[in-house]
Amino acid sequence: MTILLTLLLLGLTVGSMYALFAVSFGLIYNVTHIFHFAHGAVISAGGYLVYVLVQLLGWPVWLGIAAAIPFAALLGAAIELFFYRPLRRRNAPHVAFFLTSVGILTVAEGLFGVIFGPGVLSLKFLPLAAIHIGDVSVTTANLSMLSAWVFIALVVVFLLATRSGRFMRAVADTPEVAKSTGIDLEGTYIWSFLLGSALTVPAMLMYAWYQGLTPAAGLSTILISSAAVIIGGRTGVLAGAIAALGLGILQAVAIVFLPSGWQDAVVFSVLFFVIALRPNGVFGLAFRW
Amino acid sequence: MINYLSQILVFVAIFLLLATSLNLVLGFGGVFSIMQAVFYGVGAYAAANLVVNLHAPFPLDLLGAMLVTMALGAFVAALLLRLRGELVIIGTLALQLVFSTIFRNWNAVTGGSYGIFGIARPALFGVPVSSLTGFAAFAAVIAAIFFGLSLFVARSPFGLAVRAQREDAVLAGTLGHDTVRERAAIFIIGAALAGVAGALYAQFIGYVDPSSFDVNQSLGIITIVVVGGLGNLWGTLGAAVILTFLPQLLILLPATSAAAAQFQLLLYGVILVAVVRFWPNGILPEQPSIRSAPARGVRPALLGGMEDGKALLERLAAVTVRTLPTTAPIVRVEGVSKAFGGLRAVDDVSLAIEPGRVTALIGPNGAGKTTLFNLICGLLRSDSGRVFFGSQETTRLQPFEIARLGVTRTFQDVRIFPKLTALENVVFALSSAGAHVAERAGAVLADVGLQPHADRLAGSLSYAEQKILMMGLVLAREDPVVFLDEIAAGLDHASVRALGVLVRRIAASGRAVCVVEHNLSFVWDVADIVYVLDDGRLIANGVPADIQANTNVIEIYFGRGGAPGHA
Amino acid sequence: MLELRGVEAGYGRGKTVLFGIDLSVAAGELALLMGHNGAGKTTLLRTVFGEIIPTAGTIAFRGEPLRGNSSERVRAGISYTAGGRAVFAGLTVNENLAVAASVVETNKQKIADRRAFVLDAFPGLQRCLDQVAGSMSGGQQRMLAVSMAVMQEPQLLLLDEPSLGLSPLYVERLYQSIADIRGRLGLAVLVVEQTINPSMLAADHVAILRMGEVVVRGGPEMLADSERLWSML
Repeated sequence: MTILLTLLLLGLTVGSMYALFAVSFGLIYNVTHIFHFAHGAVISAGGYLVYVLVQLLGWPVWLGIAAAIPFAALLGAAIELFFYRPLRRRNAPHVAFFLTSVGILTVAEGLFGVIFGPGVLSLKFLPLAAIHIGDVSVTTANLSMLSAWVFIALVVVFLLATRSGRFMRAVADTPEVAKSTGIDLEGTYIWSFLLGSALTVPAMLMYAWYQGLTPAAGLSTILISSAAVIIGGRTGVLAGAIAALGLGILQAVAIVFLPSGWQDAVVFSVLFFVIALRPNGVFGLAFRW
Repeated sequence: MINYLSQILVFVAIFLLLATSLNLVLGFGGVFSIMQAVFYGVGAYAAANLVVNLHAPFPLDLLGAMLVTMALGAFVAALLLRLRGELVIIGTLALQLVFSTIFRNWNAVTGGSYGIFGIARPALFGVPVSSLTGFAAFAAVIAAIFFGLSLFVARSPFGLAVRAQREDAVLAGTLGHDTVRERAAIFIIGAALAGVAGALYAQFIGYVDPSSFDVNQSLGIITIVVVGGLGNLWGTLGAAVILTFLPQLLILLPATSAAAAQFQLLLYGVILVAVVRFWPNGILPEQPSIRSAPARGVRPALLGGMEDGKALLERLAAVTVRTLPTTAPIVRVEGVSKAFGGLRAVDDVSLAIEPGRVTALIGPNGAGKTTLFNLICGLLRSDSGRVFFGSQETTRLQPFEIARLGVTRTFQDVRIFPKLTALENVVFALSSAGAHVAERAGAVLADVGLQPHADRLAGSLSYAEQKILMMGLVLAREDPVVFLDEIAAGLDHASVRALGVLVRRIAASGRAVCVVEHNLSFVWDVADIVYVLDDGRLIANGVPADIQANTNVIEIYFGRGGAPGHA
Repeated sequence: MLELRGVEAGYGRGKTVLFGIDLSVAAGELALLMGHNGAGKTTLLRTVFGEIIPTAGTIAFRGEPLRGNSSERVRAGISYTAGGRAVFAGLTVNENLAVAASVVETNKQKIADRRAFVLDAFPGLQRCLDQVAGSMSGGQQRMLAVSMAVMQEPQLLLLDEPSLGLSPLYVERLYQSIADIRGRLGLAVLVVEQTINPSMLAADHVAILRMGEVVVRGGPEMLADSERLWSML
């Protein structure tokens, strides 16, 4: 029983972190319809920046994070501005966007590998300690993941209450109508890249606290985020968040049933079956935000 | 030195096979697969097992690997290939990741993370190919054979069909092609080729482990194909050579040798982004599979102005229309209905399209005309009712099956294959394969006045020229039943008149012709019998003079603006 | 307010849809343009709205040559309601109205005032404020689409086949609301339609578009003579 509770808690916390990643990816994907794999490059860039600023240069933690957030936001916006926008202007086919995105992700993985080496870096300023709640123990890293929902709530408030947020939802809903209403589509895209990319920083810190920092982190996180968004369905960010939570729990509980090493297949098998059987996602068109 | 070069040559051979396999699937077939490394791995593990456990000799090792990968390819094709666009990307990506886990964990078959050791080199005619140079020669020959086969496939009618379904699968279907089958076939061929590469790899290195068959490998193969040029196999050869040699430099240069693997990732990423941005067609653009006889004299400039287009369109009135040797069937529609949600788009419609006459379908916007067309041609499934072509019931047939019965259908506006040449468009449309297809296609093009543009991409033609090409496809097929959906759109008076003359001559040749039109003056000129639809229901039919005078018809255009029960 | 002279436009590669269009709409006027599909109605509106660049001719808005993309033209005072379901299906009626308004106005009070005005002119929407737009009937969605354009307090309103697919009752209500707004705000309205409804007699002048050319102009009494119209279409 304790094992199950521990696993459940593990799943809930890791799933919450996945949810934040999914929301960050979903914001961009739902609005721009670009399968922005390069999001992984932004994710790892933010992580490595905090590492450099705080661990190598000795900055205070809060300052390092405060610097990383706008950095990540601007990096994401720059990718849209310098790579996607020119492709859009010349009416490039969908694959061109995806290939460019994958290329950027690969460049990041290579670059960080060259600079920092392929090994796992741990963030010493985020110490891993175990906390006991009754019979169950959980790490500090896992607990921090629950804060993901605070960020997600902020995003929802932004989408519902602000002008830019409403424009983002409008463009995500029906781009043609958004155009006829005079909404500046490309301006809205920039906003979604800024917001989605900024969110990667807290998510990446949770990830690095839990698993350390590697050049391949961008790839693993983007795979899970995009899987969750597709499984949830492309209607609203919460769909991806809940799907991500579900995937986290599923992955954790699978340890009980599957021989070790096979858990990785769980998430992607689910993804595959959703694509093959219910391409609109598990929740279909249910979510509004 | 020789040994070093031999080693590289083997890898060139392997990557050439891998990249060619993906080019066929992605470049030609338009299937965006990120799982090519899975077939590479499956081929490698299959060959490894065959050689290590069963001591399979050459060529059974290779053939066994191919069979296993083809079986897997067929399975994946059945599940995924109904999907299009991004979903194929994600679906294949998901499978790539699932298989990476399988490779790492299925100890019985793959040896898990440790892999399989001790895979022996093959023996040809009793002599083992054990030396490095020997194996390099062997690999080069294998690669050359399969590359040659791929070139053959690319230039074949099947290759043209695969490219056409990539451009527009629906259009290809209405021209009689089973695009689902063709897509699956090219995917399976790609899987087989990757399997051969895997077998070569396994027997070269003598050892396989999961790290060579992961998502980064799939992405690396994509890079080679993109750099070489989608749809061009010679470009793939060049890219495979360049991109296999380039990482070697990284290993040799002191600055990069320590982190050579990371530098390689960096290099590939930069190359991919740069190529997509600046040379989106890759080193070499796609080549047509068939060319017209060389043109004499200077190539004419693009006909953009309305004058030239008009002249060509007016020429259509005089084009050759061969008389139909047998009688065309009567197309009978009985009580057909189709609803979308609560909306009855077509409501219990019955009509007959008879040979030798032009039947017109008219009605206000949203009346259901194109929906009815789509139902008759099989693009939509009706909820009730039946459709007959002569004595053959076609109610539940697929569009390509109906097309094969002798039906040509055009789409609203202009719909042709933009990235195929004008000549390829006509060749593809010709109902039968067989001898002299290129000559027949050339003759059709000459007849409609597009001969000078035969080798130009259809997408680069002007609107008028594309419309002429579309009519060329109709004429080339010589089908007994012809459906024309709003062909008069976007043309001026004289062109519409010429088109009308052509349509009447097609009917006069004994064919059954049905047109959907908004341009009523065209209809009055051209039609023998007119059916009027409103709100999905047939409200009138008769000769043009009667319809023109029919007050009910006048009323639906002017009276009520829509039936009750809508809002 | 709006003046087109000799406008020609189309979709690249030599596909010209409009030939030498002369058209003008004054403030406070309701101009009705009739024509079949393929006659160029939507192309005309999209050219005025800025989505299509004319290949010849001039378009003047309030005396000045009309420039800028569609976003800029909305802010300049031209609003457009496209054909079909031109609403955000996943957003509520309130949100739809708010989004449309915030494109041109950021002051919350002003937006609230406009909303009150719009709900007064389109009373059918009052009951559905929190309803998701996609769940409303076709007629209600059409009302919402037009109200969204009105929320932008335009000086020129472009409507693409607003009566398409609506029951005669809804068409009547819609045209009543349009006439009401036209009267109160003094804006110019250019409507394109394919089928006639008696409510359209509210138009100030009517033109018939056929194969890209204006073939007839006149007053609304033309609409009553359906035989003649039939022969012209």
